[in-house]
Amino acid sequence: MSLGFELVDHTADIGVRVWGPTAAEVFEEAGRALFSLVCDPLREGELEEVELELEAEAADLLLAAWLNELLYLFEARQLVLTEFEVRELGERRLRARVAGEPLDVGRHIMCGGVKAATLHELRLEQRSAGWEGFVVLDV
Amino acid sequence: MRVERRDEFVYEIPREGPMRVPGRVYAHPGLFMQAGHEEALQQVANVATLPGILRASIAMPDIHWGYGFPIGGVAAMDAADGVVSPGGVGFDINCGVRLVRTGLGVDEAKPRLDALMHQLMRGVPQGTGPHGALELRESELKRLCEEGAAFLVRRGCATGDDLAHTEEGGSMSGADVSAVSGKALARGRGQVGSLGSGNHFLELQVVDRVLDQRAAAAFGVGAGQVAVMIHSGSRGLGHQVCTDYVGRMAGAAARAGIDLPDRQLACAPLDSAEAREYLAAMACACNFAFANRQMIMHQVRGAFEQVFRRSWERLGVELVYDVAHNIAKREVHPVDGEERAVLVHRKGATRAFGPGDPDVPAGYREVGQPVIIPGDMGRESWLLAGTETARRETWGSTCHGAGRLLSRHAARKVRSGAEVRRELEGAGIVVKCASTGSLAEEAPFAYKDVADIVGVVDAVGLARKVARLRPLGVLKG
Repeated sequence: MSLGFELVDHTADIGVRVWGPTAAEVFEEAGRALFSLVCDPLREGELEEVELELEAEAADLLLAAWLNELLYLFEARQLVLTEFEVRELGERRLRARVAGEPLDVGRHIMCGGVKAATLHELRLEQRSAGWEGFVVLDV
Repeated sequence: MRVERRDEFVYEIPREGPMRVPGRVYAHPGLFMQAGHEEALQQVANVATLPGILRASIAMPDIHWGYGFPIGGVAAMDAADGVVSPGGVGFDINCGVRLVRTGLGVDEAKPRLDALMHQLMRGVPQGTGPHGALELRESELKRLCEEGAAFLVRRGCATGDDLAHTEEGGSMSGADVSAVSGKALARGRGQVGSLGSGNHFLELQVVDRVLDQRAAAAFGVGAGQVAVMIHSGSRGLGHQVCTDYVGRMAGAAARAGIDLPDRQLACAPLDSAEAREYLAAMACACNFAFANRQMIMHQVRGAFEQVFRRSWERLGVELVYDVAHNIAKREVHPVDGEERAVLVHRKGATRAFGPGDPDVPAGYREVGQPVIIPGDMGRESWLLAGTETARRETWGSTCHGAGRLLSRHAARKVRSGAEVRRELEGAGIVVKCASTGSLAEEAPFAYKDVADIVGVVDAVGLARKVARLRPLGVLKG
């Protein structure tokens, strides 16, 4: 299965469908999909790196927790994330390295913004050719 | 799904399967069958399965498909054996609206409209990100979370009168900042006094029609008067509080043996530690939102002073009222002839207490609580008054806005942001926005006509029309 994402209509919110050869790649692609709705990177300067470790009670809950953690890094640490590397992914635990540009309010262009990843219709499934995830974002 | 029409504007979803109570939807027949209604009605039925829900799972005429609860939903849970669901409040805790009146007539303001909108844009930060009008140390933010808008009185950014004209006096009781995560505090810290993004806005408006002279006089509004409407919430702090507790309760519900039709309905029994801590943290987020809208109003007062070279007191820039539309509150309501303690979830619904209610500010008590209903940015907004009927039928609640008609993506396909800007400007409305793309998502055609929504709640008595406002200038997040 190739790697990619599409935005799906949901009246007041936005659904994101993500697919990839492995679950880890689905997580990474979901991070890119999220930031396509948050802020455009400048693609210049030094990136700041953050190591992450997350736990959740199920693999799909881990996908929502991952996206919510990335939103936290944007708003609180002010990082426009551009690199997403999932190093270890279990049913209930994830270890990753992400990197991004320090937010420059005067220069970065915001794209509407996302409040949170919800659990509504949340799923992460193995298909014959790879993995697929679906998350509804509150925007 | 089976839906039965009970009255001109009242529909019922009969109780079946795991539903504990029926669903009741107040709707205009023409609005009822619009896009996404099947999903929204399923969500009304899903909420009816929650433990302790009383009487009915209610939806207002601005109902639309949300996540977990429908937007426009009202659900009251028994205080003894019910639950609280963070999803029944939503991520934007205490998202709400504030209406500010001025002593300026539209003819006085019109020649300075561009200058005023420019000054408002400079004074009120929009969009996502950390750049609110108020800089706070962490210890100060924690106090603000526990005190709400009252925190701003000492800083000269709020008056006693402002607090008196805010729901809950601008300060929810039971706020305990130890229940708020460090992450939530970090997200909110730089954001006090900022609009945010999405459907949040600040509008300069004119009162163009008064339908209830007595109530309008009590609220201090009259035809031709310039007003400001502010729509914002608890920003990243509230979003993180909801995220944290939905995560915790997803497990708690299963442990309490609660079978959920949608995990976003995650909830916990009111006597559990999870529920107590969520309500303490939610109250902090509510206080953050009251303070946020107060700080935005303080910036608005400054902008008027700059442009008109008079003090805001002399310009009469005063708060009419501030209402929450995403909130859960402990209230006492009549149930089967008895006063009963309940927890009311309002998710895209406004409190609408009627005349004589002790929770309505003294000056408004004879006419009922002001209810502020923003419409889309091209047409109109409304000022209503609460009623006793709402108290009897809907836990003292009414609608909250126009309600979405088109998804954001679908709206972008209809017209571009630039076209929407030209249309609004063609109608004489000054437009300022952080991102032109979001203009298309929030365009008038993306929403139902608020006049239809307000017409339904007025007809069934869930609020009473007082005055209509039209936009002069729009500042978008």
